[in-house]
Amino acid sequence: MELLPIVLAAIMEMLVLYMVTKCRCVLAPDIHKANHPLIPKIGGVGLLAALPILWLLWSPLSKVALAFFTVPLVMGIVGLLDDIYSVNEYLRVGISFGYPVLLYAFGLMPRLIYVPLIGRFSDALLVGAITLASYIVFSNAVNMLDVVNGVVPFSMVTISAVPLIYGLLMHDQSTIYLSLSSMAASAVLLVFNAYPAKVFNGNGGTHVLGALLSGLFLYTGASTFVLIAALPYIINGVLIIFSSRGIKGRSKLNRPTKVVDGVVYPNREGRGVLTLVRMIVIDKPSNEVGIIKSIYIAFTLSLALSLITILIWRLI
Amino acid sequence: MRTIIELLAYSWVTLLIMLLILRFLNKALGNPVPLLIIGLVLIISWAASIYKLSELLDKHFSRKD
Repeated sequence: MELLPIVLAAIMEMLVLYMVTKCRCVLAPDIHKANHPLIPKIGGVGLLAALPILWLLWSPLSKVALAFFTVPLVMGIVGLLDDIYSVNEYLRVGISFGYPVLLYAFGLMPRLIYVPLIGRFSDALLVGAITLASYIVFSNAVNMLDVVNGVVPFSMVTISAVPLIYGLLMHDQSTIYLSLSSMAASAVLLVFNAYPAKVFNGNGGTHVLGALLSGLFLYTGASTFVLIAALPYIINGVLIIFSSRGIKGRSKLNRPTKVVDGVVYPNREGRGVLTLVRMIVIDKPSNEVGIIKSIYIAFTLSLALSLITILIWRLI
Repeated sequence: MRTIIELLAYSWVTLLIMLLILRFLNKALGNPVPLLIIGLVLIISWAASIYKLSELLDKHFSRKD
């Protein structure tokens, strides 16, 4: 088991994120805190420093490694440029999703997917559709829940635990490596992004983590279990898309919640969009820490449900 | 917090049922194209049911307020 690239990547990511906290560049206000402190919003740069190490020191020529590490790299670079310069929306979406389409079209991505509980698929059209849909769904879903400190990297640590356990059960070295890589990169980011955040993930960070989540779904053989571990993301995405009648930018949506003296309440003025955070505060208004704890609990419960599903899968 | 646990439990149980239906259909049909179409219909229905449940919970708590 190659642990050296993971250790080196984690050290590199830590150094880069430490430098980001010191440079105090590309700042954004933390709106949930009392005096709206300015925080660097380029956490993605740490992940971008780790990915090439994880890829090149492991298996640079394999299709799985190419797909798993270079798609997040490309999406992360585009997201980071968007954080700094605000890239045109069509150009950003075109490059982010055009790259995996090109990789797949040129046969540089695996064309086989195993969906536990359903079966194994090798039909080029079906696998292509699932691959593209996975990148679109997960990168947007992760971006949509990046609203409070620490939630996205924490969720990636818990979700990565699922294919890790599956890989250990199946004695699959590749799945173990991919899961540990994703877990280590997310854990380092969590140290800097956990409440109170010293660094925001930014679009660069959420796009990298969304693409890594897609990679765990597509290339570890544990797709069903990864999907269940990621249920809070799916629920949040479904609520936003259905209640806002389509995919719209955050600025065009009616705010789902309102903050009064540091306490978050559901926004009852007009037709507020439904989100996971709104569902958390509808029965009991809460401050930022309470919301973060609730989301942590939701992802931990999803991890437990995913492990129960693995048990069911082994029994039938 | 209770609403989130209810939503998670509902989503998990219904997703498992949907996966088992797809497992049965995959064995019965043996062709990926009808499975893809049926799968899409099931996924959209599943997502719509999660939204409906959330909307009901939201209305229930807004009446309480």
